[in-house]
Amino acid sequence: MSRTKQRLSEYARTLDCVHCGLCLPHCPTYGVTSREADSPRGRIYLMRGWAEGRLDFDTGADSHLDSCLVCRACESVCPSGIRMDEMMESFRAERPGGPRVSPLGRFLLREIIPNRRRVAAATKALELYERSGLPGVTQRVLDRVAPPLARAHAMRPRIEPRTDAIEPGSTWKPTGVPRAKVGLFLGCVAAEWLAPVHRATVKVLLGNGCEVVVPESQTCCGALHRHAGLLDDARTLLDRNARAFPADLDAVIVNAAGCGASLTTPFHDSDSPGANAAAPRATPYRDVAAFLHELGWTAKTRPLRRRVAYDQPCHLVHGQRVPAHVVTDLLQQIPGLELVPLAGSERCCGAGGVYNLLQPTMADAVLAEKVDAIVRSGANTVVTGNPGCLLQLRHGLRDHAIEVRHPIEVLADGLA
Amino acid sequence: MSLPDPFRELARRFPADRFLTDRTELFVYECDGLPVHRQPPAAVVLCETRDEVVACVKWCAANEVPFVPRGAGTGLSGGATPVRGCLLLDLNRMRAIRKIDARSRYAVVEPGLINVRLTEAAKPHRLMYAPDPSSQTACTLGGNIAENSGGPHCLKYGVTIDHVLGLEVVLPDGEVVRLGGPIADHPDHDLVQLFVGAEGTFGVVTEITLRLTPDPPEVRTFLAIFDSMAKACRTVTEITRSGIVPVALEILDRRTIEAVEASVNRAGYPTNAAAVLLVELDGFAAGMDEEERAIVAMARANDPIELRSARDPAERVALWKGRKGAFGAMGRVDTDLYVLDGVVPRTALEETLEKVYEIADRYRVKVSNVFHAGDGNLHPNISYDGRDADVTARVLAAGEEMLRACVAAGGSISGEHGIGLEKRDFMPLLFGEGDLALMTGIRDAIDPEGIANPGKGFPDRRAKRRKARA
Ligand SMILES: Cc1cc2nc3c(=O)[nH]c(=O)nc-3n(C[C@H](O)[C@H](O)[C@H](O)COP(=O)(O)OP(=O)(O)OC[C@H]3O[C@@H](n4cnc5c(N)ncnc54)[C@H](O)[C@@H]3O)c2cc1C
Ligand code: SF4
Ligand code: SF4
Repeated sequence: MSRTKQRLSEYARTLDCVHCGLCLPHCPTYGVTSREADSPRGRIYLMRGWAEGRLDFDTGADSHLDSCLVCRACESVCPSGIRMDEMMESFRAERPGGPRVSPLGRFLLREIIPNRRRVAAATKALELYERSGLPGVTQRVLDRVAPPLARAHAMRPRIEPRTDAIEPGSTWKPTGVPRAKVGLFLGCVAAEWLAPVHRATVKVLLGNGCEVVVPESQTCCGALHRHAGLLDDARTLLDRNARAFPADLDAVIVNAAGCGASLTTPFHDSDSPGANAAAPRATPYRDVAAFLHELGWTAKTRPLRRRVAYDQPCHLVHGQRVPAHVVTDLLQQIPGLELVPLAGSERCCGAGGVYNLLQPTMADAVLAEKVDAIVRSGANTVVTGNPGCLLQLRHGLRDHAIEVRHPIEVLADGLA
Repeated sequence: MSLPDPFRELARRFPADRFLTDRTELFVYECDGLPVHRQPPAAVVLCETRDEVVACVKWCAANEVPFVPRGAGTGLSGGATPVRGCLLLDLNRMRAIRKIDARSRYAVVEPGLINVRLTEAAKPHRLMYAPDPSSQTACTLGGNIAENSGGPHCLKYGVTIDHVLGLEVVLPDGEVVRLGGPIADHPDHDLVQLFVGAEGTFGVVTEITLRLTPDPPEVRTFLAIFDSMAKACRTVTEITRSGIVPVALEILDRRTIEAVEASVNRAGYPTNAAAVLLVELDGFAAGMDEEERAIVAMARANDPIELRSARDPAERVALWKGRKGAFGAMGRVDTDLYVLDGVVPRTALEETLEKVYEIADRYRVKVSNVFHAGDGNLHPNISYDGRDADVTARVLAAGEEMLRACVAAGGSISGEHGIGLEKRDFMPLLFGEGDLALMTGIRDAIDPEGIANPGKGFPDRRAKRRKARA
């Protein structure tokens, strides 16, 4: 068994699967292709077969493992307690040839994303580009010459105005004696691209009597690095974050489900040096909705006339096991707001970090199902608490009169 | 990957993403819910229409290539395990509900539809599809037909066969027949009965007409937790003797309880629990109070650690959760799981269980029991490490002996999981030579070439011939 150990450090995890098949209907990619190799059971079987030396990957054959969204829906339903995130993380890091990341991807992940100033500069460039009138031309050219690039281009984020951005290094005090003292986790690109979400988060926390500190030296959560198999990079980032937040906080508030899941999930490639060094649990990261729900809503509200559907980010419901009612209970604090049920709200929207850029065909198919359900729900606002999902749903709903917001933004709108 | 020539000709008729020949893709189809048997198929085709099924089956007949139908692959007797050189017909993409007739209470569906989807679709009409295998959120109705599946609620409502009104079948020569229909006493209804439980050896089911059952107006669920298995079994015997027919009477033993408590389906059972008995009643509220009181009294008389009852749907789901997730939760005990399926007279439950534990000890294997106590359907689950050949051999031997114990107690070797590959060699335990000859005779009349899921249910007499040719 030493050989198998070498091949996949999470090999033992693959043995948790008893091949019962209960996960199949919950897997978005299996829903699209109906191919066993695109299902949780199939993927685990492939990893196990490979680790045991019964199967060798010819070129491209591990595409079924790359097509996993790591949405972790299978984990929520598997009675055997499989951990797809851990298996995928270890597989993508350890497969023949190592992590498969393009030079551009590696450059972005290593040189841009962990550095706030560079992210800001890149954002500025994007904004200039957006205002220049070039995007229309580029889109038309790409549509003709390079459809995959054209898609990526069409999906580029529309950067939201950064007036009143929450600046790193700031502190916010509520009126009266604070009920809690919390840190705000900013993330990498979200801080620049989705400034209104951070603003709304601070507003709602203040309204509910929390003091908020925003430490300067925090950085990216490392989730994308982990997805890609760049575990050492992810570990370094985790360490930097652990040092950034002071020890006296009741919680470090995370408003991006993907970051939250990554920050609270320990590393599991226990064979590689320095594993678990960062001990992510030491920092009390909490999802913003889960934290507010537990703290108890005390802010004054005003009515909002909206029909709202809640789409659950995978990394909140499956990754952090925060059930839907935690978010909808909060939304119900706003008078006049009508919640409408959304079929399949626990199913992935196809965003999957940067999955939608790497696996566009599958992502589109998964997204189509989601858009359909949202339209059928009759909502005029859909809320979801994760930047990737926000961008993905905005892209999917671009031809519909349905607003896509972070739940915290709707809550902020409902503050008196 | 080089395919035998004739396959290539068939492959041309399908888009590449529905005709799979890549070694990696085939590898994952090599087993079903019983991974002791493994054999990759020569090719997999994901059929979307009956006509595609016909084309494939005709091609198989013309080229003497065996075919194996496959639903969700949750089967526990190797029914969907490929046979050498076969074409695997995956039916998951045929999943439409063609019709729900609420007034006449029936539905017409395609075979790849997942069992629970039918009940979901019938719900607005206050109807349900009654047979509810514990795998109902994943298994297909085609698979249910082929295995004549049961479920916890079948004690009162009957198993699959009692709910099938009509079938459309592609016979092993590619001819399509329609049997039965929405009217229950259709002249050829008996033929329908013959095809239910055939495990794919009589051809491929491509459309199913199923009876729908009115949603019961009232449901009550209780759970009695005991510190010994004997007390739970005694309660079951008393309930059945009283003449009350619950919809479900299920028992979980100590090891199952431990595994369930460690899983996502944890139900909050006390740690000193040795047996959990789940009882469900349904029907009209009138009279139910009385039945409820009687059952509670019987459970009380056997000195339970705890009694719980659920009156609203959410509480009920919680009580059922542990039971429905029990098999999967056993995955925590060891790497592999062998789920056995045997039936004994209800009066022999306790002594057979004793025997099962004794056999397990003797073979040094870990057994747990979760079973449909109401109809004497035992499911000893053996957890083991399938990578160890010696352990696997002991598991199989212990399993065989457990099934023999069921037969010895006056029972049978399959309650609901079918014979498949797993138990075909045990058939002679139950049936005389004459019975077996009759059964194989019927099969040979329907499948003279022996290409429809050969080797399942009965020993494959043609395997040798095919091998010689290959
Ligand atoms: C966790 C778990 C719990 C279970 N609980 C129960 C239970 O409570 N009761 C019970 O009875 N079973 C139970 N089972 C066993 C299994 O789910 C059933 O046998 C189910 O009916 C199989 O359906 P499937 O779609 O997975 O079929 P598969 O496993 O894919 O196939 C089963 C058989 O059906 C044949 N077949 C499939 N589709 C067709 C078709 N369209 N035409 C002809 N033949 C076809 C196959 O060739 C094979 O022989 C359980 C299994 C698991 C893993
Ligand atoms: S539900 Fe879990 S144990 Fe069952 S097949 Fe899926 S991953 Fe394996
Ligand atoms: S993580 Fe999501 S996409 Fe990947 S196997 Fe599980 S359910 Fe499927």
